[in-house]
Amino acid sequence: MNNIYQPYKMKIVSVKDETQDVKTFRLAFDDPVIGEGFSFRAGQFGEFSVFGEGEATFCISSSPTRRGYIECSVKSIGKVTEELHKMSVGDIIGFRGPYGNFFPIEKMYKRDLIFIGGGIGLAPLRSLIWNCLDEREKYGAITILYGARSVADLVYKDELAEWERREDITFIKTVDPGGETEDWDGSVGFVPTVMRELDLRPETSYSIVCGPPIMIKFVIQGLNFMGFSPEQIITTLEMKMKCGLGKCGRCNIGNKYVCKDGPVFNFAQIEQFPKEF
Amino acid sequence: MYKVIERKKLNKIICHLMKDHLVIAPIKPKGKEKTIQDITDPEQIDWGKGNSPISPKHLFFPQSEVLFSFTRKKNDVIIKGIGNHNKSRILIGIRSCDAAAMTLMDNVFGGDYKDHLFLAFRKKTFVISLACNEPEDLCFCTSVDLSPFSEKGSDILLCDIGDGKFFAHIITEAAEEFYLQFKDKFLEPTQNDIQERERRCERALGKLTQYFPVKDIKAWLDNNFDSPLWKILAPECIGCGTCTFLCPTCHCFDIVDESQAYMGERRKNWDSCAFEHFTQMQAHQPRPFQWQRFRQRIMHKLKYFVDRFSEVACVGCGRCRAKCPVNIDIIDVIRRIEQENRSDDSVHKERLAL
Repeated sequence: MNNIYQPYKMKIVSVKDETQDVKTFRLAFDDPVIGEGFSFRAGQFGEFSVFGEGEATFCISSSPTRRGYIECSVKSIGKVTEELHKMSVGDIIGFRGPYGNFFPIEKMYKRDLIFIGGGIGLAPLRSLIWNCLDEREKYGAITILYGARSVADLVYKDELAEWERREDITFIKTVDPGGETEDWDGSVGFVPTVMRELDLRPETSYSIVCGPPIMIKFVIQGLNFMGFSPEQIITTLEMKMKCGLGKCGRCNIGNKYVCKDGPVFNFAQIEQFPKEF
Repeated sequence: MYKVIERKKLNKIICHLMKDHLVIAPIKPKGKEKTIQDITDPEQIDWGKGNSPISPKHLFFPQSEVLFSFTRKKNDVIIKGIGNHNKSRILIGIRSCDAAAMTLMDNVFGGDYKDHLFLAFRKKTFVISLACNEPEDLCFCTSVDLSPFSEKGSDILLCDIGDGKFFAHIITEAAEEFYLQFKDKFLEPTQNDIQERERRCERALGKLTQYFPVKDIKAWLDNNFDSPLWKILAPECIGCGTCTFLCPTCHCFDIVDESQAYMGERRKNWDSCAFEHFTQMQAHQPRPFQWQRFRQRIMHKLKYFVDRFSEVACVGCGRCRAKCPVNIDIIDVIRRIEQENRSDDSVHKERLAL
């Protein structure tokens, strides 16, 4: 029987500085045979580990359509993530996954999609965004609204520029008031405020939202006001996890385990949760 | 299949089995509390009344368990898995409640992702449990669908019927094989043996006449996550985790690395929902207060576990009641909730009447 706690070895292929404390690691399976057999869906996560420091939970931020590697974007915030930030190309880290459910992408075919992200919360959306852009013809209008506290806090800057250039999507970037620089060419304002300017068709849309809790709260209010039903608003939740397999007992919200029943939920489901997160 | 075996004969079987099995049993070292550990002589087994303060869960779910070891090299890491090298084991003399507890943990460690370490321990352990002829004051197994002579989780269930004899209920296929292997040591039960066993069962049940509504508060738990009652149910809880560590069904764990310079191990260690760090994230803590962590424990045992596996995560062993340093009693808590439930119910009925 396999050891479910034993990770695959993955080699760091590249490291990209996103912000002062966020790096994106591109990883490839050390054993190419495992790499070829590996697949995942946008929205799933993994347990990433630095041997000797321990494991940490991150979503896979690259798209399943890009084969041969996975990426994770990591904010240096604790023991494991600080050590991870010290690692460089060629180093080996551990990976267990993919775990959890995923974005209901089949339901999104032919629909308009509105991605609303804040800060590092763009990471799980990025997986789905590239997934949709790589099969662009399957979806209706695609709108991406991304905001961060300041220009320096925006992640995936090259990709933001690419999205801005594309004519088959609407892309809006914003920073909180006071976070703009002199040469900032995006909006200035909080995401829920900027959102009001969007011209959307709620009846045929899905909105996929991820960001800090306070942003999510007001974005949901806004979407509700525009006419989105809770079923049409999808997010991915974060709780402290260890096993990722529904066993270690800590990531539950009520009787739902975020690691197994989630991390992707729509707001009709979330409204049923006890208020514990 | 029901048989009878004399303790002397049983001891002989155990001696024989010790050659290629690890035999584990409750023992009572002089001047110390009863514990459960490897034995080298069947005479060490404590067949006396009273359960051990620790449960046998550590035999399947060790307090700290190596998942694999690793050595860091330049640009590489060598991972060395842990093989299933554990010897076949005979676990003898544990109580029915503790045997039942192991089957509850099967739900968690089995399933779609199988914890090979736990399941290997389960598979390699033959369980000969002992019915409780004298349940203790804090026991409440009959309130959770079990009994002092529940068969759940046992291969053979023994009942001490006096005169150095055990009544043996041969339960599983493995137990039938065991019986066939040692057939000449067993006796057919006489009418007297059967009556004696029945008498002892009845006497034991007579000590457990009180029924506590452990399972009946589920409906209240379903609807009252936000009840103000939670804040006042266990204000004295100091979050020490004793209840969770002694509980034979509590199974929450942490995964941590322990390493020196280039080598180390990843371990699975007991953890507890009573601890603040259990859910503490860098920027967020869903359960900042002790009463919320206490609520999680009650909810997990009596609602979430039931929702997931259709059983309460409690076997009524009473250890948490006995050992809480601030005397929190899960039965008091359950009764208080039941009271609340009834008054909710009567309010509801009054409203309907109006």
